[in-house]
Amino acid sequence: MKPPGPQRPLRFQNAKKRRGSTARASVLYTGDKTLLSEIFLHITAIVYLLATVIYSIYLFSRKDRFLPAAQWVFTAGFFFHTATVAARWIGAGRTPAASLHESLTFFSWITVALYLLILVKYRQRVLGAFVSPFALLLLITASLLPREIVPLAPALASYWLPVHVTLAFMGNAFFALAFFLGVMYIIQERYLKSRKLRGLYFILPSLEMLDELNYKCLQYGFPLLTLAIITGAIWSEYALGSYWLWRPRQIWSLITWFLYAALLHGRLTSGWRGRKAAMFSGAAFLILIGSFLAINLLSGGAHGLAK
Amino acid sequence: MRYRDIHPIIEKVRPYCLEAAGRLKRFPQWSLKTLSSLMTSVYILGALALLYMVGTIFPQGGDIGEYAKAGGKYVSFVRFFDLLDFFSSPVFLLSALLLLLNLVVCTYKRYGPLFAKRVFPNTFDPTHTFKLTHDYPEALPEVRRVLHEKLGFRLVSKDNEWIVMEKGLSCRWLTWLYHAGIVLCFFGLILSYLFAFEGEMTLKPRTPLIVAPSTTGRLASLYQKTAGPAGFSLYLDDFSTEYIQHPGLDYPKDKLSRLAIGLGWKGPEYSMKNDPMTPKDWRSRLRVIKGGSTVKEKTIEVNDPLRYGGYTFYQVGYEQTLRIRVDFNPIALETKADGDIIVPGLDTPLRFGTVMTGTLYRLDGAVEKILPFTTVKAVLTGPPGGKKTEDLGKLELGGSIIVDGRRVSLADYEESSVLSYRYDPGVAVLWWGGAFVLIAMCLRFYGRSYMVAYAVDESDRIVCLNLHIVSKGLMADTEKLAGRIGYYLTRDDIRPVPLPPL
Repeated sequence: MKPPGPQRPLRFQNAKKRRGSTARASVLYTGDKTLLSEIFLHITAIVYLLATVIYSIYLFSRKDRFLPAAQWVFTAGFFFHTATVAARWIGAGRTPAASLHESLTFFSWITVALYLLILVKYRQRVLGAFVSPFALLLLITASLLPREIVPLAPALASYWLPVHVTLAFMGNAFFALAFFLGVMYIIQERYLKSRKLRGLYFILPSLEMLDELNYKCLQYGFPLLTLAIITGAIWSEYALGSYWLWRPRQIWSLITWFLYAALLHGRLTSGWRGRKAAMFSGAAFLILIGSFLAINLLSGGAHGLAK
Repeated sequence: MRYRDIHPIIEKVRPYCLEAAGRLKRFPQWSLKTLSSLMTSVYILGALALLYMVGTIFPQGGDIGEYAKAGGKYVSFVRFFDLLDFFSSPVFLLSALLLLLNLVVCTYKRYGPLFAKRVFPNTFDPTHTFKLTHDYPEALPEVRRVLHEKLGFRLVSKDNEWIVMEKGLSCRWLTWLYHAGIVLCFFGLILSYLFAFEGEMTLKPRTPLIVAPSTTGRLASLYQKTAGPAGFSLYLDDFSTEYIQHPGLDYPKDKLSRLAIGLGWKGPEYSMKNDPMTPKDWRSRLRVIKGGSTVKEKTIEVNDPLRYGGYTFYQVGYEQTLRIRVDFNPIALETKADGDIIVPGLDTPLRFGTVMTGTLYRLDGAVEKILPFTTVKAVLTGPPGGKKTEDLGKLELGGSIIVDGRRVSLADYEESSVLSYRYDPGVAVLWWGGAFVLIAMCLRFYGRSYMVAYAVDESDRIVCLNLHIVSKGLMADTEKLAGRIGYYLTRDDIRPVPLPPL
């Protein structure tokens, strides 16, 4: 009898392979709550589309009556969005951030929620004209991705999931708002430099206000990103055996942290204000969102732990 | 050579030498100043971001030969900078050291000013003015009483007629604390880098195993190969797996139907063929045995390791040994799950899958014990470098199948738990540092602190309170504070009348 060759013990990765062979794209739950979340998702996308259209009309026509209308529609969309996230949360019985579809929907929801908070505190309604297409884009991207509720991989089944994910997305959402404020700053500055005071010049806030808000968003976002990195490290220590594994997601979050830390330090010195700060925060956000999408698309979501 | 010959040369070189000596003398001061500058921090952070990007572009942990063989570019460059093991390379370590130096110097430079006399950061120009109805001599102590007793301000300084008071946590302390916290995190990382080690052990049920690491930390590895026995054993009482029912998506093959599902026009279809299930959790009931007695017991799972004696034990896998009986031969053959075995009398090797056993949580809420079973496949000779398999069926514990006239039965199986262990003295330091960073950073950014400079003026028998409010932190609101000051002054019958700033 030929003895069996040397064999490695079964890893959980092997167990995952076995699972993968059973079903290519796995589904666990197909109940009413999932369907409800799907319905709300489509309604939200439609309402956000309507808000984007009204905001666009406002931007082009500069008629003030469109702005409150767009604002109300966008806020209504947020309520449907909240229902989408809540239905998904209840349906899955966990934080809806285990797949890229869920992550994008959740990120979009947090971005809109924080925009509404900023709106209440700082009264900059025109920011909605930039946030609503972004939220819509995220929802459309999410709807094109697999929407099944996947069972949580054992490494993800932890109370750190809601803590880490919520903090990370809140930080990202503030950086997204800083990005839009930076875009608004650059547009406004172009008008001023060209000395052709027309178009969006009359709609956008002053350069000083935009710069100040951009800085505030960075100040809100940076501690949240730091919290997310540290909670992620603690979770990794519990679940994966080491607090830092030099995985691409960890490295890119550190890169983003370095960039925003550099920006905040730069702002403390005299030179990094206005256009320079707006450009830097824009570049940092593009790196953040690019790395987030690329890594999650390649790894299948949840830093590759969901697979 | 005589002195007079070399004298002109010495005279020529002398100023340069003196200049160089002067520079050398100034070097520590210059380096301290440069390292503590904010712009240096910006450059270092930016450079680190770029370096890390490089580290993610190249496949980490790869072999340079394989890299070159696979058509990798810039091989000599990659080799020189050790880009395939970038996060242990000298370039990376140097850059990390530079960041640490910057942080240490910055933290050190920030320490002195913590105890320096507080100075009002702006000029004494009033931002808010109130007209007071009190007489000048009474108004001054009354305003101070309101600010101190009602609003909790502390006296900072008196500069002639301007009095400076502050409220809230000191931003200087908070900023220093989170810088110090990051330095502490760095020391945790250094401890991990030098002393941490990890390994794996396979625990068989009811067989104690002495924890004896096969490796040791980077520093200790210079003079010894292993860290030595830990002085205690681990004992596995039980290993179990939990499964969850897991329907499969019946994904259509044509692209249009897939697009329709993707866009939400068509609902996906699901399949429950072969009662599909997926692992939900793995659990090991462990005991720590020291000196013949149990000192700790714990059921560990993926997110819940066991910590003892500086070690952390994680559930990372499991190993199954299957005992196969052929016909009624009393001697059973042993094989590992998912491994191939040659069965006497059979031409093709057989492959036994993982034994599915444990608890199953069904979608309808029912919980049931799984009767242990495995799958059997015949391993056929396939294309070069690969093997083809043919499903022979399911084999329950105690059951049998007939393969080529031979009765093959699953007599028994044994599950061992595979644990990884890690000894890392840096973790505690890191968490303490992390806690400092989190608390101080959140209070610094989100909290609120105010500094108020005020003066009570009298001109033509009109008494005015001039205030300059400076705030820090996102929650600070100078207008709200001015309103509160006005409210308390009113309530205490000074009856202020707000005036526009001068």
